[in-house]
Amino acid sequence: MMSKSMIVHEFKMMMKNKKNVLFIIALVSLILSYCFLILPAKETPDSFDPEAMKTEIKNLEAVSEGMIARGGTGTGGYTGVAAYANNVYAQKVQSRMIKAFEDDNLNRFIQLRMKGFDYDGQSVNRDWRLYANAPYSYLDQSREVSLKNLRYQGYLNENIKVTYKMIEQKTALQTVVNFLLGTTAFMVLFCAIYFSSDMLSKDRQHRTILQGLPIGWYRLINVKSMVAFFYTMLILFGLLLLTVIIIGIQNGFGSFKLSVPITIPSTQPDDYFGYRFSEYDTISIAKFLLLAIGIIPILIYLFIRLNAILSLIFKNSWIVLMVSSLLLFSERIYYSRTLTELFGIEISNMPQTYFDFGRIISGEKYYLVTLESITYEKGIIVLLSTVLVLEVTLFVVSQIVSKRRFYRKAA
Amino acid sequence: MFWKYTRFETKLLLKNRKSWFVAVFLLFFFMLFFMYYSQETPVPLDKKKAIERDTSYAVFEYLDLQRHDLPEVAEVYNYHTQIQSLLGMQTWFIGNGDDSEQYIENGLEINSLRLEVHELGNKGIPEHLIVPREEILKEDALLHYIKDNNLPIESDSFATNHYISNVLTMFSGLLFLVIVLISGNEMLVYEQRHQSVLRGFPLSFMQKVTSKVMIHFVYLYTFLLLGFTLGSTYVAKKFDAGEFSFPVLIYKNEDYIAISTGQYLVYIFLGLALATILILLLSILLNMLFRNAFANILIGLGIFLLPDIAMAAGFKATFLHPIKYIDIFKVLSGDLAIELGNSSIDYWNAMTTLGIITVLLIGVIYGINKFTYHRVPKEVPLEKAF
Repeated sequence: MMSKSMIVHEFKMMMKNKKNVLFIIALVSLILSYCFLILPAKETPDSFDPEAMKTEIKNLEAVSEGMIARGGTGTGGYTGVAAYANNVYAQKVQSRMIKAFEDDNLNRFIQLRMKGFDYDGQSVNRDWRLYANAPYSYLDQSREVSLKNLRYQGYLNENIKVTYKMIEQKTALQTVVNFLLGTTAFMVLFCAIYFSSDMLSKDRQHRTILQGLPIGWYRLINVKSMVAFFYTMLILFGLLLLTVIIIGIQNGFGSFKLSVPITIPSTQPDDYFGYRFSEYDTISIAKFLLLAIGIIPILIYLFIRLNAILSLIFKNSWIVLMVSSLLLFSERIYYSRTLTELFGIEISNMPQTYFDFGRIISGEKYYLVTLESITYEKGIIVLLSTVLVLEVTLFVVSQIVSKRRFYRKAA
Repeated sequence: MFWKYTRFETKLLLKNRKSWFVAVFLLFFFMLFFMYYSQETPVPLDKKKAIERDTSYAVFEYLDLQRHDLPEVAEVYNYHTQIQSLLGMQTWFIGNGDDSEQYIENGLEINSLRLEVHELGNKGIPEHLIVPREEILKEDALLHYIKDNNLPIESDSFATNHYISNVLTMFSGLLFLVIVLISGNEMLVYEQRHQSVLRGFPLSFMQKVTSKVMIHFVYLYTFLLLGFTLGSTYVAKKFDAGEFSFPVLIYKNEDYIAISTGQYLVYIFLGLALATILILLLSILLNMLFRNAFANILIGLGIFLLPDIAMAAGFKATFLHPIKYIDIFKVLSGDLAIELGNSSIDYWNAMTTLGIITVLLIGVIYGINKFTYHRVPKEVPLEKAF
């Protein structure tokens, strides 16, 4: 009975809390400014500029004519490359691409684009600090091309009406998927940290009212964690709905059947003597979102419990916020393309590798660090065991830092 | 009374756990950064030159495709062969040849040839292999400085600059802003929470504000300097990188000049001091307007990100540019001028603008405080918040 009133009270406090309201306003304005100001004009790596391509065709024509004039239309002496024939082929493909694009025959456009004559200097919107210093950097490039081709093939395979916005990856579902795939996914976890950073510390301001509530200390912490959890999930769901509706009206909803390319370890048998190249496959957006929905609540719960422990120890909501954020980004401190062990333990056994959950689901994390044991299933296991450890720790700490000690006024 | 109040505020600051956390962070940030960064030793100059020479060689692949047919490309090809041979000589002189003067002479000649290629429009060279004009001017200024001051140039001459510029790139800007905002966010809100004690203080509002800003500034700046000194001694001992006379480039009046590292550090820390005072005053203003510690940080960050959003949306709002001056490192290195497309942003203009904004903020705080004394009608009791 007391628990129920406590739940209602906590929920009301969280909704009225000025800090939460301000943060939500900030997020909403960020989303709105992104949807209305940035997205319409944004040039993604999949954008197509017919004018630039026409200029390129003209240049190729000039070079071809030069080759004809000096009789250089055969194969190169040392390399055997047929430059002239390549040029002619490139011109044909490119001019047909322009025609297909202008006629809005996007299926044909995609097929022509997959031939690889679309030189776009702008690379995919990736976090370059993660990609730097690769031992074999040409593998990165060939992976980019393979993933792009798989995605384009996905547009053709499902019998859906392809639109230019879909190719540019600006539809609602694709924006959400891209948001979760990259470093921006940390925002989801930061929301959880932010909303629960003062769940215990704010009570210290109103000691006379709240210290005497007839509810056990450990039970009170659990009630607060639960309320924070549901509040965070509610807010995240609301923001997701807002984004999907706005972008859906602007650029179309997208389809759940579109493919998200993933990187999986080599399926060669164990005694294969060559280099074990990664292989690429696709999963549908529906499956990707289901996997994401599977891992996000576990992570949010983990951080809320961590915040509870830190609140008990430090009693200051700012320190809790900063320490939790540091732990959230702790992986970036030691990250490198070749580091697979930390203090003698493989990083696939440590929870912070899995905070970057988008990259875990798409297999990019495994690819970047080249450690085959980083998989989604292992991630779930490691995170659940971390939650177990945190629960035990929280129980012990809540016995040591009792309610009386917590409310003792020091700082 | 003022000094008693200052002592009181200092004690409050010492009791607050948050300030301990920020102090520890500032103290160890530089050293930890150098320790982590030391996993990758800076690329020595001879390796850099070798990489530059090889990258430049790749340009020939592209030039060869077109130089037989287009005469402009043939001209570029002529210049590029000269550039390539000079680069090769430079690699020799910095390595086994060990001749600093020749290295510098060759460098200056390469720069003038590259500028000529720019005049020709870089025909035939693909986008990612063109050396930008700013890079050429920077290299020019550096070499002239070394030549004028007769400094010997070795393979590892630029190590100190490398470390310092790396740590400052990371620190100056967003991280610095967040730290100052967090440490100053409760300055006035704290008074509101303990009204029964603090409301009747016999001290004028402006004096209180001066006292608070002074204390927070001294505390932040001391730990910043200590942390930086700690980091530099660590780097100097471990990597023998104590070369403070070597030149660093700064951007001045649409041109690049080279100054010694010591002078550069003086400029940076002066800039950081002014930025700290400005951000603390901004915190006080936001505290007065919004009365919430979290609002302080969110709105402060929002203001800082406003020019970025405006640029991404395509608005050319030049009046928002001064907000970005807080990032002193970018202003000095000229990157901000390139980013915002406004070539008159250099250190002295930025410092003047920041100074003007500081004075403006003080004026606004004074004005808002004065405004609370406007009671109409006269019988209404005075509701002062702080």
